[in-house]
Amino acid sequence: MKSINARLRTIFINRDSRFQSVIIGILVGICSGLAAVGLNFGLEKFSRFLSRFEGNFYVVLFPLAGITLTVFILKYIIKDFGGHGVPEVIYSISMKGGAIKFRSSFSKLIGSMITISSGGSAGPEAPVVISGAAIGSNIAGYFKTNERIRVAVTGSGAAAAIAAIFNAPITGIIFTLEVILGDWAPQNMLPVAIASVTGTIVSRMLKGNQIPFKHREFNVTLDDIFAAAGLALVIAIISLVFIRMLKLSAGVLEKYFKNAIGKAAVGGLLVGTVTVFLPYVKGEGYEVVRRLLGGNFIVPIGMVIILILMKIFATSVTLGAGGAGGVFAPSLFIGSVSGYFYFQLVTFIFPHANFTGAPLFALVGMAGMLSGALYAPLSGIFLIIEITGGYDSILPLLLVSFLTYTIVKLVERHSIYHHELVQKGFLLRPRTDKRILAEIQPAELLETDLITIYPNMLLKDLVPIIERSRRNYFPVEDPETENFLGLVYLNDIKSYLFNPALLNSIIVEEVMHTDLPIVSLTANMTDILKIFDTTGAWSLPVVEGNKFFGLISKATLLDHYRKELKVETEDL
Amino acid sequence: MEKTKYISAKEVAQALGIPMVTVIRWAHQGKIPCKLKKDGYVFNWEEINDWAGSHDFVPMKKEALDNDSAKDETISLRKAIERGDFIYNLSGCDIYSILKNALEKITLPEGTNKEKVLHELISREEIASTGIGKGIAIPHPRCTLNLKLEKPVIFVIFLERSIDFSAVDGKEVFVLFMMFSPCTEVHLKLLSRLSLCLREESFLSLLKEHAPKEKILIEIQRIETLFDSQRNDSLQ
Repeated sequence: MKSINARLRTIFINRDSRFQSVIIGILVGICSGLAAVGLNFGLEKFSRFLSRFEGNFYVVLFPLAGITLTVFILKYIIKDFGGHGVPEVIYSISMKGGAIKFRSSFSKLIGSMITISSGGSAGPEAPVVISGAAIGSNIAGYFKTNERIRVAVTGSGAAAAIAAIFNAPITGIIFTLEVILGDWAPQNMLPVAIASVTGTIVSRMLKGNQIPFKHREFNVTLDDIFAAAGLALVIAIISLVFIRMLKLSAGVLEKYFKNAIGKAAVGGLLVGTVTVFLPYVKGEGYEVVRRLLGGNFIVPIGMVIILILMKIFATSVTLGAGGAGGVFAPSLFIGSVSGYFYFQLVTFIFPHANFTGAPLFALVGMAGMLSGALYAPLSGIFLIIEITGGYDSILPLLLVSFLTYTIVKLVERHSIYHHELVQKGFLLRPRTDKRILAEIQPAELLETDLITIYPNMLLKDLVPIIERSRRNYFPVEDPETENFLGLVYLNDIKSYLFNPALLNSIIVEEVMHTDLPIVSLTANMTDILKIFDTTGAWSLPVVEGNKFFGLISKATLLDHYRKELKVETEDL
Repeated sequence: MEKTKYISAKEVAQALGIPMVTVIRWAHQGKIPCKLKKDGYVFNWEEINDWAGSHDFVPMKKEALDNDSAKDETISLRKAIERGDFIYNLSGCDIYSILKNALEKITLPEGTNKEKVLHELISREEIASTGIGKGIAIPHPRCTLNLKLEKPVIFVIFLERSIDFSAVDGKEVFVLFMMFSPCTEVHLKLLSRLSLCLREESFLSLLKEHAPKEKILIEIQRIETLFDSQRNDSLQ
């Protein structure tokens, strides 16, 4: 008798791919939703427990303990990679067909729970996104789906997680398509939407249908909209500071502390020192955001600037030291405080202008920061609409989001999620030249219908071989070792073939080319094309371990490229 | 329920003209419709055909899958002659009458217009003589006509007395190899095999003495087998 496992699997394997994605989407939505709510719940409990000790001098050591513990658990017990998680998800989608290790579905949840509740400055969204994606990837793997579906399902997990943690189904979908998958192909939509809906339902059942950030209704004035343009510039500058600071702190900590635990301890101590003086920058910081939007967060402008800089510093150090968490929540924090800062600035300069108020600017600043730091303008806009339950601020939202995005992109081409992947050549979005070239393997282009010849053959001996061969290239091998020696081009020897005297005197060794660029079976197509371009060759020999495997010709490569492009562009 | 007919990755690869490795990769990535069975991917012929159409691939022909063996068969001169016939002592005093008399004696597929064939043969001779030297001519039509031939046919015709065929070496022709081929490719291959035989003195002398059908066929067989074995040797 078949096991239940095997039976479950066979039910789905041979079904229509759309049916598959619906069923898997629901499953993934439930699991990722639970993970998101679970982390939320755990964070609340943990933070409440630790808040009892507030006021004692030793709380300065909490982040140290938290980050060190996180690094210890992730590195030595679960043995998972570091980093904030989102780039790893994008990497797996780009390069691994969406495959993610199972341990990633819980490692970051545990890590971020410790990091954030102990006072580290980071957000719970990235951990939830990677857990959701890992859950999706593993469910897809369980049902043995093909890679296309697995990629979509991995994205669905991320969508469900975002949807569940913010009670924001549209944001879940948009964030996945914009940041994670980078692809709005129709076949991705269905599983992503289903998972997003399911994740939201799970979250509402367990946490209730609340809007995370309530605010009064706005009546946006024309003055607000003009001011928004200036806000975009401020947010763009702060975004750039944030991006640079994240890179810098990771680099500096990496450089001076080779030991991961030591790095975590030093980072934790720095964060602890900052948070002791400025408890606002602790954790994910949503309390401050909530108060800002409610209009009851009032601090002087100098303090606001310190708050922004310190939050940037604390977040950069927390993540650079190896703490688990993301930049999503810190971005929202920094964005809202920056909005508040800008509001104070403009009311000081234009005391008579008709501005709606600090909450509106804080709100718009949040969306701006998501565009500026994460390069996710659409996600930012939809997130703000969904988490504030209102559409009234849409005009300045649109304006600030896209302006910030454009300005930041002028300076930094790639977001913090992408820049490392791009540097390593790991960001391959669907239907791009790089992606298509990466798909094609040398083995697929190998032309093997060639006749091997030997160096001491006379040209005369070649005549019957040339007669039979369909190709104009003849690989030369050492008769004893069978090692590849070079190539003979028919074109080169054509003129000797009709000269009986030369026919009997020239040997292969004298006419073969030995200084050819060779290609290995594992070479990537981008490099192979480069060789074609630089040498002007039309065919290159593929040699692995001194043995000749075949030829790769430019014509076949481009023919194959076009077929790959056709298959890649049209959906099933 | 009717059982769907599946084809293998190899067959898909052949029909679409892409390497099998690529077909399997596409299946793995979900770019081509397929089913995952215990022993690998299988493909539904109709699904693949639809898919090929919508992705701008040259649609595949089902027959192409089945007919592959026929293509691979090597062209054999002996078989072509066996399909035809041997005619001895054909009378005639010039090219025209010889060809006309020959056509009357041979059998071509049903419904062939012999008049038209004769016209084609003559017009080919007018362009350039098919007398290839050593007393041998190979009359054949310029185009394949509509003979509905599936396989090539050759008629060996010995003349009562040699005639002037305007051959390349000026010698009078005493034997004709009248060739009908389904396509140019086959025609050229037969021609190269014939020229191979004509290089052999033993074969030429058999022709000169108007040897009986069996002897000639055995000789051709000998030469062809020798050639094929040499070819296979050097291929390996």
